[in-house]
Amino acid sequence: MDQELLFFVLLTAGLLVVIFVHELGHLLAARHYGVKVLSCRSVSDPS
Amino acid sequence: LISFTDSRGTSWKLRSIPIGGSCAIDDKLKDSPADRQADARSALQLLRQRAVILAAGPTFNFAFAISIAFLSQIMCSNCEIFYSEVGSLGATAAQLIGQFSLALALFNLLPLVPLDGGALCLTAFEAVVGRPVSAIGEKRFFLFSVVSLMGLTLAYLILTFSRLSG
Repeated sequence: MDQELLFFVLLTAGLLVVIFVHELGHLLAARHYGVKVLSCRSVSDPS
Repeated sequence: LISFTDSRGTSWKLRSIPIGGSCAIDDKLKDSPADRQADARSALQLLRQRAVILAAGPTFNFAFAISIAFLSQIMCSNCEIFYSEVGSLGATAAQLIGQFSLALALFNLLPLVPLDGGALCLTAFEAVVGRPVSAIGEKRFFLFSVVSLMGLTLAYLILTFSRLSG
């Protein structure tokens, strides 16, 4: 049970990291060109 | 959950509902169409910049997937990259995360409007034709994208259920 929990915690954290890495790519490229980034959400609100 | 604004004015937010993520970019081209017509060369440069910014997300995901593949290879020396037997808990999680990163990159490159691929298509159109897609054209492209995404989802569900039942 503990192993399963650890697995799902690892997986959830990993998925959030993947989304974060994606947005980080956009952010760093934008900053490289001096384009202003107004907001960056690693996990966004549907509203 | 967490929110702060950094020294460059970017507002960082970690929200409780994990649906997507986004970077709102202050696009000079959209704000000043008059400037775009005044200086075609700088407009082309801005379009190139926009394309690189859009492509950077999937590129980072590809790089991350490759890094994770090497990491899981180290963690589980007997397994092959991504298509392996279950070696250990960490290696399996790492492989799944790598696959998700790869899938996210490929999905985002689909030429459909809310995705990076769709925005890249619109940018390419603007660079080739010399003007942005009209409002009606954008609306039709959005409709096409929504129908395509729904079709893809439906096809995926039918394939999955037929595989499960068969």
